[in-house]
Amino acid sequence: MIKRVIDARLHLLDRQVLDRNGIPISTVADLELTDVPFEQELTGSEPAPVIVNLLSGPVLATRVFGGRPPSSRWYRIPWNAITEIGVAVDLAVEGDTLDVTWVERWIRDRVIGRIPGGSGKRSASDRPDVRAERTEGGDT
Amino acid sequence: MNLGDLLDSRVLDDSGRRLGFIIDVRFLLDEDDDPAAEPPGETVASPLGTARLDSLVVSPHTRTSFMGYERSNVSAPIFIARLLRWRHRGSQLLQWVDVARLEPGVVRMRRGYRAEELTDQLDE
Amino acid sequence: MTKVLGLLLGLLTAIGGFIDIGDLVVEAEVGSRFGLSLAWVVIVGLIGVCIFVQMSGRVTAVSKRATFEIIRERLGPRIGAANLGASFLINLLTLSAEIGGIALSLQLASSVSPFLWIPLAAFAIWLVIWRVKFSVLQNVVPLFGLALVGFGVAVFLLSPDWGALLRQVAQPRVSPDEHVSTYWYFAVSLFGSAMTPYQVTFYSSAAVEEKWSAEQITRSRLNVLMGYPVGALISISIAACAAIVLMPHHVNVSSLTQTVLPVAQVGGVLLLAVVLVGMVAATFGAALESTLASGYTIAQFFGWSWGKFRKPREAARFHLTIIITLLIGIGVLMTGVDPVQVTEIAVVFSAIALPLTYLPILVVANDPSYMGDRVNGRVLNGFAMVYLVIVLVASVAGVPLMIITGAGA
Repeated sequence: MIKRVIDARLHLLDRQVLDRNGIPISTVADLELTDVPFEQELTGSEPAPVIVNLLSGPVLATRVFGGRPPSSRWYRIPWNAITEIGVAVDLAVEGDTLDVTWVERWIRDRVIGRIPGGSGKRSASDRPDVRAERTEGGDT
Repeated sequence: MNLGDLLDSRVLDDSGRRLGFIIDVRFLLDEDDDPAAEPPGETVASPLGTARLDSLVVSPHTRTSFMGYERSNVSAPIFIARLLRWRHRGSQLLQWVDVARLEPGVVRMRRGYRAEELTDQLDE
Repeated sequence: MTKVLGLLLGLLTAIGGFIDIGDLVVEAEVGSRFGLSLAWVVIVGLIGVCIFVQMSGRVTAVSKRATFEIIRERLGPRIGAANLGASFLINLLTLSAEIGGIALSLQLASSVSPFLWIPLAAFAIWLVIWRVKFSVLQNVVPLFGLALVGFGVAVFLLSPDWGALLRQVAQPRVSPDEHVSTYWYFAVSLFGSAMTPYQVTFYSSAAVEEKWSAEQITRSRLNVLMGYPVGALISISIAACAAIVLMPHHVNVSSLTQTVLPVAQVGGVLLLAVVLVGMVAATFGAALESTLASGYTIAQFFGWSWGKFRKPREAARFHLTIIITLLIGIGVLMTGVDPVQVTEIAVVFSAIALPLTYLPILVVANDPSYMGDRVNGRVLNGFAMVYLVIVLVASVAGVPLMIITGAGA
């Protein structure tokens, strides 16, 4: 049986990640692999590294500028959440359940959701008179 | 280990001669038919199977993997394809099991490592 | 019937969408200094933008991946980030220039200081992006931009020596009081004003916003191929007006007042009013597009949720980016910089940064893993390669020419 080939940089890195509803979540900034000892002779019989997590967040800055962020700053998307790798990476989970979307959720709940009309519902607060007065504040 | 720890590393043979730079890392997807090969602790099966590191794509001339032309049969527009293939002439696929030692930014291969020409496969 | 109407609407939109502040400023300046001897650049730019915009729209419609997702994925984080920085900066300059253009046009119409119009215009842009449906935003505003046909009318009313004009077009010559390098500097500027990056970002993102199918790609191609040339004609007529009226008096255009001077002179208040409506609409439309484009580029690069087809709260960072960009734009303009100068800088930098956007799109348009059997054909690739060379030459020549000529001074 011919196994499917994934060339990490060509097929995974910097690809768009979509959640189960097709909503963009993030891009793949790096991959976390199972550990292989550094500075040690390898015999070739150790288990080959496998992909454990997709990484995103501040890892991007280090791929641009070099260096390495502390492990606690990474946002991980587990490998087993991926359903397909195509022109985008599809996940089986909802984006809101992942840590990587916290900034989006924070801005949604604290900023954008509070500007009238932001949630797209045409409620009483959307009457033009009320809106005109509130959006002034919302723009700043 | 992160993938970024490997990418762009210099690759040396057992005598310290530079073979090139890692421009990509090739994984093969196991269909999880061999549970014994599973690393311990990994319990939830992935819909795709396990992605196991198979080999390193090494280019002798440049660190930049450019748009994958060196590994695909896309040949248009012809000038761009030719130029990028030429930049990556002599690119090789080195087996992971032949890696002798990892150091930050450096990967050393063991004596008698196997190498497969990459670009040759494409020119047929 | 609705189909014909839809076609017509798309066509008119493309005409109005072709022209923005860059054309209003640079065309008039070029016309007043070089006559129509640079009209060929408009044609070169026209064909280029048709190829590029159409290709990026097709890539996005087929692969469902927007331009900046592809740029990030193909160029990697470093060059990708460099491209993002350059594109965002150009977007910001363009956006500031367009808002400035709206304010100056409204000042011409109302004599109210542009500093009062700037925040109002920016707020109106935000409100439209926040509330108005994408299809309305994309179609209605540029429709009013059609009023710029007034420049064409003015050319006829001026009843110029057509033979002399045609000779300027057919046998380009640099007038004795201008330097050759200045001529080429403005050639690069005109090329950049035709192939502005925000148009490409906007057009390809529109393919996602409006969920284009295969048939719609064909229709949009038709719109672009028929609408843009008419837009280019209007663009050339701006230069022609300046060439006929201003060049003989050695007036070098440096403000929008001078751009519309020939129109006012020959067409009176009525034609001037029509053209001013067109200018406000064209700059407003372009301001909408470039503001959205700044949101698109950033969100697509970082993989955020984006688009007007989502509710604002479902694309929170995208909308926040837009608000912040607009605020920066207001800040830039409130320092009192001349929007005309901002425009001149923006169009040159557009030309300089162009290859970084053009190349990845061209590459992906040939990649079957994205495009299936809808990859570029041989003929299109032939044209696209010729343009890759032109784009590269313009990009490389941009900075030295800017230094040699002191930015065309």
